[in-house]
Amino acid sequence: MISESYTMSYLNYVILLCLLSGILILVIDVRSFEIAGLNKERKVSKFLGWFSIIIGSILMMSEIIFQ
Amino acid sequence: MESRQITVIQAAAILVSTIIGVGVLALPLFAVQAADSGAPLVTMLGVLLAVIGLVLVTLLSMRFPNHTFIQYSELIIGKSLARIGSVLIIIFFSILTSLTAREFGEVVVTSVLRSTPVEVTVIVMLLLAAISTRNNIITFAYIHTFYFPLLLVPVLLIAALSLKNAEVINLLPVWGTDPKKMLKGMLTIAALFQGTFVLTAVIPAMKKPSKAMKASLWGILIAGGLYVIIVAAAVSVFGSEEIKQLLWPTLELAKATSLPANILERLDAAFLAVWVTAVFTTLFSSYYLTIYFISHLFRLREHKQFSYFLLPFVFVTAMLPQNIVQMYEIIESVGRIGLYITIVYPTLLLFISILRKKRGNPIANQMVDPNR
Amino acid sequence: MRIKWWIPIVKAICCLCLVVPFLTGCWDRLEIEERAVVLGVSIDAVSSDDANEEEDEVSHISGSIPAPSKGMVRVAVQIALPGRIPLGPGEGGGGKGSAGETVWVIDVVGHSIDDAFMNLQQQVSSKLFFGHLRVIVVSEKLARRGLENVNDYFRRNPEVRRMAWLMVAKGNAIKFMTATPQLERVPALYLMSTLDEGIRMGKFPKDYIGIFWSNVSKKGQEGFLPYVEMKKEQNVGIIGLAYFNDAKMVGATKPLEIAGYLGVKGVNPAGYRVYIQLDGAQESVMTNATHRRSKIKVSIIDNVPQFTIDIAIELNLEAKLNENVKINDPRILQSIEKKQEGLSVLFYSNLIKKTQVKGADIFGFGEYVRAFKPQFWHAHVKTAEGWRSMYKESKFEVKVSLKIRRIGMKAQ
Repeated sequence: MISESYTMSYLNYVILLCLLSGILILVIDVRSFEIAGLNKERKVSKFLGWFSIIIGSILMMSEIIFQ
Repeated sequence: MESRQITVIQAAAILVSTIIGVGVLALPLFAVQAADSGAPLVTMLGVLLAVIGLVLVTLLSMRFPNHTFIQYSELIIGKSLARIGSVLIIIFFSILTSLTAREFGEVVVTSVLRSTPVEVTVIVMLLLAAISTRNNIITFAYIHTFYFPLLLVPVLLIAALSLKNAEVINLLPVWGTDPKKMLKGMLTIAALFQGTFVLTAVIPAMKKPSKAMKASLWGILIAGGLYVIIVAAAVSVFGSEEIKQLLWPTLELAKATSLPANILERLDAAFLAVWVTAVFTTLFSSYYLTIYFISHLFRLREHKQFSYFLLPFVFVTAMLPQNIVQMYEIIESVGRIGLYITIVYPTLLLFISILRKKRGNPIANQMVDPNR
Repeated sequence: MRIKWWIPIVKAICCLCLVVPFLTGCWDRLEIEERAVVLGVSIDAVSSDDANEEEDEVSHISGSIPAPSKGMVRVAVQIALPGRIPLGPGEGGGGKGSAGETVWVIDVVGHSIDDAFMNLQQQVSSKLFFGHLRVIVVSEKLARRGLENVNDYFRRNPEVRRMAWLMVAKGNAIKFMTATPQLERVPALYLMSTLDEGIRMGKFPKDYIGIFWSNVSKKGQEGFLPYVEMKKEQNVGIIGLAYFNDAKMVGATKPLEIAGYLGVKGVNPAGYRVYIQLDGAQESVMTNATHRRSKIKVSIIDNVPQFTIDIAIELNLEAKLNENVKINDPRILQSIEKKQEGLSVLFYSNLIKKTQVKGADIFGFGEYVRAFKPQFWHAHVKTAEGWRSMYKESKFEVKVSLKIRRIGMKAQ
């Protein structure tokens, strides 16, 4: 998928988006759910936020290593 | 918090601004490829097909005025089967979102901002939609209602002004050429109306769900009428053979149209400005629908955490088509597959629910959380 | 409160992040003085031997990226000089402003239109901008060779407007770029207004590049373009319609035959004047058409389309050559009408015949067949080529009715 479209280097954008969305979810959503007392939602958002950040980090690592 | 507040007019506005979107630009090309001079007719048939689909979906939703699609599909055909359907719907609408964003990006890169990277245009548009989807469905309805007149007036204006250069003979014979191709074109055009599925999310928040049918008919007829007008205007100005040479005939139509007394000699810039809003509302609806359904699938009371989470995935999907020709091929086939998901599947559900005599509470007086 | 001390810092960082995009600038920023606004383009066909010597290898290199073998073109452009173009009637700014000072004309050769533009871009510092392109002049030689490449290039370019004019020049097209007509400061705009005013005075049909493209695409119609010639004093004259088969020019009409085209199509307003000879060459009057109407009907007889063209024209009497004829009797006016009707039928039929010989249906009769007799069309015509050969065999019946309404301010 990514190797196929090497001319379009949108991988950088993906990394940026992953990290950004992870941070935003952790900073904004997790907190607001905590205040609203929605426990299940808070747990889910925490998971989603860390998931995004991890994916972003893995992609970033792989880009640094393979280039 | 007041919950059921969406009025009939708002619901109709949601439908209109959801339908009118990125597809407007290539619409005359699709129609002409299917039926030459019969393009307005094939558009009308496509609209008819979409109307039938929407009526069935509305009937289904009206049977369960307090539930969303995800919930009542589980009631009708059981949890495990319904979940497969729901996941398919979610995947379909996220693909639809990404393709809309990509098509938007391609148009902008080709015609206006020629050195801006397409990635940036796509991200900006998706980000805009993602931020807006963090609101609840009431705000969703207000945003659509606000943009609704902004979409209608300029398009009608361009169609009216282009009549100056129109030749009726280009529209004849009205029934086109090849019936087999027409059927295919009908499906392609009906696929442009798939955003109407958003109604299943709107009805549970409507003030009077019993009036949902009125809203859906008005909405789709206004949007469909507009589509027919655009196709008729484009064909009568250019002729069907010339349209086959143009990638975005509607944009070309705006380019060929000038305001009286040459105040503006070409309207494509003005048209594109309006069209960006139209794309935004379409993107907004399909994005909203995606995350709304995800949150319902997981029984969550809030959907906003998904708005940013989905962004990278939608963006990657948007970047998958390798070139513009492939992109249009994908759009056409995805659209046709989508018809199974947005029309055939709900129709099945409707019949099964009738057979199994399942229905929700007919009168919805209880308060429903708008964020659901 | 002890864990919250970092919140303001994060907030500040976020604010800074939001500012960052504003610092990057815009990819598509292009200041107006950084673009070379192209107002007019001329395209000539040139022989490959002369041109090859002159040309640099910009978009091709012998060996790895060979140039196409199709004949070469010479492209000249009129680039607006920033600051020299008068923006309004009141703005004298410099006063003298003869045409040569408002635009810059440069010419290059190339293997195709795009190749030529790239050769040109290699020489011009600013980016060529076609958003204000008004006039494209091609030489007759190139038009007869075929305009596919011209059509393709300008159709693909998103900046070009469909309201620009494409015209065919008798002789060299480049003359139209270097010409300096006195009436307008920008030569390209003068060329454009010649044709635009022609539409307003009923002397020329609407035939913008977009309409030409549509006509070329249509199966039952051929394209036509204004045929222009350089006259005395650097002036421009419209000397007919250049008619096409697909994108290849196959012939040109006489100037008065433009009126024939307009009559058959019933285009308003009308504006051509003709001589009518009453008994003998001495007693001629001149009439001016004011209003045209035409009806085209098609029927299929023996598998050949038969067209009936009903033309009605209103006239004013404009002048007479001597005082022998008295214009104070309705009967005389009637006899003039009769005379002119007879001549007109012949005139229109001859024009149609002329285009029939070449198979160039510039009137779009084929569109009538396609629209009103679809069964016949699908059985016997189908394609543009099919119509080209069918057009040669089609039968035409022209009916003309004329009415002289007014005779001017003179009583007789």
